[in-house]
Amino acid sequence: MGQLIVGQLLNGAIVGTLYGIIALGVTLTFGITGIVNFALGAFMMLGCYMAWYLTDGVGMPYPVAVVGAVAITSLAGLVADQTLFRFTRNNLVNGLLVSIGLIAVMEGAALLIWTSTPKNMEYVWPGVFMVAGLVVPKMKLLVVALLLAVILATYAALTRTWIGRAAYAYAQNPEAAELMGVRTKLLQSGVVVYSTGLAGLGGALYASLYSIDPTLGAVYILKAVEAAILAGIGSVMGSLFGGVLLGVTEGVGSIYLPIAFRDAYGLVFLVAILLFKPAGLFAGRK
Amino acid sequence: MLEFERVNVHYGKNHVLKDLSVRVGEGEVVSLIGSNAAGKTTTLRTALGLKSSTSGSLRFAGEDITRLATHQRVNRGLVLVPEGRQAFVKFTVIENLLMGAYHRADRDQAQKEIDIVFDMFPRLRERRAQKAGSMSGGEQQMLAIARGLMAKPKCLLLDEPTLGLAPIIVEEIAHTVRRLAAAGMTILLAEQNAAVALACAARAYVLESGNISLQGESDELRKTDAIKSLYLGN
Ligand SMILES: Nc1ncnc2c1ncn2[C@@H]1O[C@H](COP(=O)(O)OP(=O)(O)OP(=O)(O)O)[C@@H](O)[C@H]1O
Ligand SMILES: [Mg+2]
Repeated sequence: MGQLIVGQLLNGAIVGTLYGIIALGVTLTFGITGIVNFALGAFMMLGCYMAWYLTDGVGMPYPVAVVGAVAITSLAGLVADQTLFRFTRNNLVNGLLVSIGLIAVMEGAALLIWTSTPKNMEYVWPGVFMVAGLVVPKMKLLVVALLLAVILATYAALTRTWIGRAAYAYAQNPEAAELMGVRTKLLQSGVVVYSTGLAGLGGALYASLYSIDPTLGAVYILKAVEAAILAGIGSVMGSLFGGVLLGVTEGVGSIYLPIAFRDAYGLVFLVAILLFKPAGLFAGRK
Repeated sequence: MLEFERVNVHYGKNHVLKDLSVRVGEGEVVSLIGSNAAGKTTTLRTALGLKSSTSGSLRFAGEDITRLATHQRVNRGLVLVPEGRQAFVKFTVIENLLMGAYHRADRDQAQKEIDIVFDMFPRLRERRAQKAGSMSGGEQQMLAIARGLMAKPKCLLLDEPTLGLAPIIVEEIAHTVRRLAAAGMTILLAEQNAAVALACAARAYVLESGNISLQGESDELRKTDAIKSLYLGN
């Protein structure tokens, strides 16, 4: 039983930090461009396929493939921003339509190129750690650690650097930020691209653990949006906690309750939290 | 230093600034007096490029800035303290001031200017760690001016800094503007309060529905019937 719970906690933590890193993109994009980018799930899927392709197809070492996958996903994000999202700033409905259209295009292209047959990468880092008699796969631990590190680094950058301060200032009062000399268009595009890069990183790491298929992004973006709402949109650390909370609730919930309803447990949890804290758990924080 | 040359601005079909020509010389303090909806805010927003003009040209420090983006104008030292303070409400006083220094190449050495504006507004020093959103209107106005000064402006544009403030605070703000003027700062001050506007500036323009209806030395304007009846209430 101990092993089962630890296993589910670890799975919950992985899935949760993945929700978290995409939720971070959701919340940053929303704070700076005023739209919810539902296509971030599709960018995650792109990251998955790129990491898989660059390692098993091209033969790159996995770490290089991850960097390559993030670069390619960010580039795709830049193209999407300049051709589509640029025209949807602060327009929630248009943003929704454009991102849903983009999902259809990206998933369709992935189906066409890679078919619906799931792909599995070679084990990147096989083996396990034994901790107090419990089995902890090495790669799973590494993925959680990397995702946490990136989220924490983003938080540090947002709170400690000039660009981060400018982003917070812009989220509070766009015009005043512009009057301080903030290059607002660059900031908006930068945040959109950074968010797609984060999703790409999440995908590239995901690919080393689970099998991938063209539609995997759908669940992740929904959970990420849930996590962002759970945290109170706009909170960086909240996206992480929201994501982990959801992931762990689902993981542990599946031990005791029918697994078929796994996706529902997080949702029930979300509704319960919002009943008590309608603005989200971290409302009022940065 | 700052010159509007026959500038026209429209909001849709609404012709808001009509062939506006305004000039502020280096080291000069000039007021723009006008009642509600005269076009004062539009004039200052056009100067910063937040609103684009339909025709006419803008020059700053000998350069045509008509086509420059806002951040480029700020980089050249044109700084606006906007109407309604526009503080970053979730930031502390210090964080707001640091944002003022954002465009500067030497922004990491902003402590000196922070000390200067704290000497100018001791109340801000007391409230340095307080969130701007929880401060009074007068304090937020001081913060807005201080934040503008943190940018090391070559020309400072002030949009109705006394609006809605108690007489004693209005006096304090006017005093600050005069001190800045004495120190050689170039200022364009938009005001409905003609008494303050004329007391601070050597020269003024009167703006009426987007037209300059009157201009001249403050001492001369004070004597005109239009100013007396419309703005000074006697
Ligand atoms: N964003 C806008 N959209 C449409 N019309 C506008 C906008 N801003 C200003 N106007 C119009 O432009 C005209 C001038 O407005 P402006 O704000 O420049 O006046 P003001 O002199 O600053 O007035 P106040 O003393 O009330 O601040 C008004 O008729 C106003 O209705
Ligand atoms: Mg105004």
